[in-house]
Amino acid sequence: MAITVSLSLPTIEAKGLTKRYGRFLALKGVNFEVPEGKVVALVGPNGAGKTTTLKILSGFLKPTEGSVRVLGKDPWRCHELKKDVAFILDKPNFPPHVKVADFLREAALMVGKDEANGWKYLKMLDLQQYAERSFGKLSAGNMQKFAIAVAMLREPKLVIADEPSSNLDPGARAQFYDLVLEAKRNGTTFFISSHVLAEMEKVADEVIIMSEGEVKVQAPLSQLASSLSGSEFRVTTDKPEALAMALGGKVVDGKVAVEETKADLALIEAAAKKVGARVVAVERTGSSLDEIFKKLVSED
Amino acid sequence: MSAFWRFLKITVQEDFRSPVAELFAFLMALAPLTLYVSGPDYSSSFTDAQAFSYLSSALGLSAFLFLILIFKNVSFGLGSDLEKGVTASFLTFPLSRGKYLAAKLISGALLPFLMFMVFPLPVVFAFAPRFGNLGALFLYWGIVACGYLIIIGLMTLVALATKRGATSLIAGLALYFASEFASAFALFFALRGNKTAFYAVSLLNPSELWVSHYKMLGASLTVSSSVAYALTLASGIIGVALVLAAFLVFERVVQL
Repeated sequence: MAITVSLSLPTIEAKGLTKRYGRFLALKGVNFEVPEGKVVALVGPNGAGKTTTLKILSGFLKPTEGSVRVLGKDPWRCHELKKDVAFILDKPNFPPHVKVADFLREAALMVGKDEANGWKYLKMLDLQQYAERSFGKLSAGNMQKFAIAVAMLREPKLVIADEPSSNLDPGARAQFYDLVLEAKRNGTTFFISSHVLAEMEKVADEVIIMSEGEVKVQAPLSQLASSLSGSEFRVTTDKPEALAMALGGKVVDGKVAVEETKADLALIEAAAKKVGARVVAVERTGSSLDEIFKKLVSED
Repeated sequence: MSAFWRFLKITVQEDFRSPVAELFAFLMALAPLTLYVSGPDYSSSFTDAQAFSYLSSALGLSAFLFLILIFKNVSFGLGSDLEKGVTASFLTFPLSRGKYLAAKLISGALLPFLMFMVFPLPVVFAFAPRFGNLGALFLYWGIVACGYLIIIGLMTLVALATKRGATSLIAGLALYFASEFASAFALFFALRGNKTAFYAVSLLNPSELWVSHYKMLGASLTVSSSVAYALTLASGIIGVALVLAAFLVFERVVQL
């Protein structure tokens, strides 16, 4: 009998991460792991410790206590790590008098990639028309797009992004998340901090919710939604009372509401047939990430 | 070419962008005129004292011009980059903090110093074709380097501590003018027999030490060459120590 054992290490591993700024404790023993090939969203209210966490992962800050490993290495010490790990900062900035095209060429060569790779992402993000401009003449949104292009051109194993879409217009946001999904298909891991929960819902496999310097929960998004929200089916039918009784549910707004844990589509169909009810529509309701987030954070 | 050289290339491009380079070239072209107006007979053979005096007048303005370039590069090149997040963006590349700072200081300070060493030489030899006292030339370069190093070290440390370009510039200017004023006061006391303050201030700017040694202020203040060399060396050591401290602080302490 063949036994397959997975030896893959987590892409990011944080253990007991504590960060103190003077008397203020920004992180209080944070533990989490980011599995390989997943998109993990880091969400939390302002002051939750998200940016501090990302800055530690980027090697910009040293933790007061605890340890962090990115691709198995300490980001504070290992600079070569940055050939495989891309960081997208929340407010990226580049030398104001250097031209975009000049910087792109040097940036590609700094990470051992071809310049053409950079142009590919510049075109994907509709930035090629700004190539001859200096950074001082770029808008905040275009600066952010350039930061994304420069991050992606190295074809990284891991992307750590702090509010990557904060300066982007809706079209550019969609382009960015398309890019995330495409890179994920090629095996890239993403660890993204964002306030735009609806966007995270579309791309994230797992969610880490932080509040007041602590990790409140880390779970796959689907599991989190069902375990916390009590997802249910809403069935539109001509005999709601009878179907509700057969399924052990209740009638809400003229529809049969039954918890997802008690029924599935086959069971609903069988119960409807048994009581002679005609099923017009079945909807599945569940809490959005936004609702889950509010619920968890309000519990504090 | 490694990430360091690529980054250095970008930094030089930024520090010596147009019209900064053109402006300094123009000012350098003007500098010899001041020498011509004040020039004695430079064609005679030079003693050490005459050579030092000649170099002080020939290169003094250039030294100040390149100091302005250093002020600009360290405060705006390093301080403002820290302030505006440009440093953080660069450190997302495979570039260590030490190499980042080294490239910044090579572009912002070492290059201007090398330019100071090379560019005014045609002027030196144009006005004194028989000038051959290279020892005096090296000494003058060394004295200027000591003053530059202390200012560069302090400005870099202030930029790293405050992450503000303007604060770094103010610190650099304050040190420069404070040392000039202090030097004048210390000289006043030294001429009345108390050299302690004069020697202490010379650690920040050793040029007055050599001016006194070569009796350019008259015979009333004497400084032996051994004292002048020792204090110049000490000044250089302080400058180097400040720059090394900046590297240490950036690599181990500064959090972005």
